[in-house]
Amino acid sequence: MAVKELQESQRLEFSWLLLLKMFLLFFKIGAFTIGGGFAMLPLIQDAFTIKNQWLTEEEFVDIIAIVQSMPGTIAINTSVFVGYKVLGVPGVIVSVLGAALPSFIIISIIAYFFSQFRDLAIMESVLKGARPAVVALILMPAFRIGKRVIKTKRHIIFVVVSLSILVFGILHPVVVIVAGGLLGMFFFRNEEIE
Amino acid sequence: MSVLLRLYFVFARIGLVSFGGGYAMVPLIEEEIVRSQQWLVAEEIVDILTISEMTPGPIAINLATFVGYRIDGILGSLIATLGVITPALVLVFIVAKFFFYFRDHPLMETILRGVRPVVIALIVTAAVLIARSGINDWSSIAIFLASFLAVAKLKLDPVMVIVISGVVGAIIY
Repeated sequence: MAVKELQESQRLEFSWLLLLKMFLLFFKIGAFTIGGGFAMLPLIQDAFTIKNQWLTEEEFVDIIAIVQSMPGTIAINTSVFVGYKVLGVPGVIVSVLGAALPSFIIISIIAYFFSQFRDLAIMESVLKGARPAVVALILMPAFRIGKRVIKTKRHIIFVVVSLSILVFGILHPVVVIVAGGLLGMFFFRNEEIE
Repeated sequence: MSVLLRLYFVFARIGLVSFGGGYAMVPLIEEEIVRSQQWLVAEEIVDILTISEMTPGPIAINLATFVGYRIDGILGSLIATLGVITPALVLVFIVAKFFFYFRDHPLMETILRGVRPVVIALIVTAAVLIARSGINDWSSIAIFLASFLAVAKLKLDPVMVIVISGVVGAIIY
């Protein structure tokens, strides 16, 4: 049985410049996360696996699986996980701070001016335009991951079955993830990749 | 117990038990903030949710910041936000620390092979859920297709795509 050596990204050497760069990346990601934690994923993938090779695609997928199976919200969990993987404890601090700060600032301002912002029609129009783009962006990680992960018919069956279960809300996502893992132990045990 | 301390622990509890995304927090927030602590009334929660949807940033952070602000100003929003991220910080930190040790284990690798296709399905599901409310006329279909091509073929920066489509939205809607 040949289990392929997992690809792992290298832990980066700590430097203040790198820390600052990571903070700014997460700040930008936090500021452009529109419509929930999943909207963060294409931005994280773009910043951490494409523009900088700080995570491998496999690590990115595994991180999503784990943070989805844990309590807490996707946005925060993912930030913590990615921050830790790339730069250890200082990485966690700047990733969470960076991701949370834009909403913190924006919401504090809105809370202060609540009555005026309530009927700000322009904001609604901007977001109405951005939402379809977010749908397209969220699909990107699915395609990129799919290219690497889907190799046999079994993989396709796994995707189609879990997609139907999830879209129709038949089972909780955590249950589907755990079931996928358990079934994986039987169906992908002797499988050789490549 | 002072209000701030209570705020911290209420949001820490919300952060601990909410599974999968900011929306999962809503019933919990109603239970804790409206019914049990009576800090806000139910309509205010709806307003906060609308604003969270209308502003960028993770919904969980938006909700915590807003509720905290309503209860005790900037300090309140700081405390509530800290509260909601604390459990994730501790738990994910522990799991992250161990995960990369066990990841190479053959059994773990077979488990992950089964999980990865599910992750693809999860991501597509998230896109479908947003599409249900976000893609409902011809212009939104056009924006969707244009954004898709812009990122997939032209390799445009995702943030750029959001900004451009936002500007387009402001013009056409």
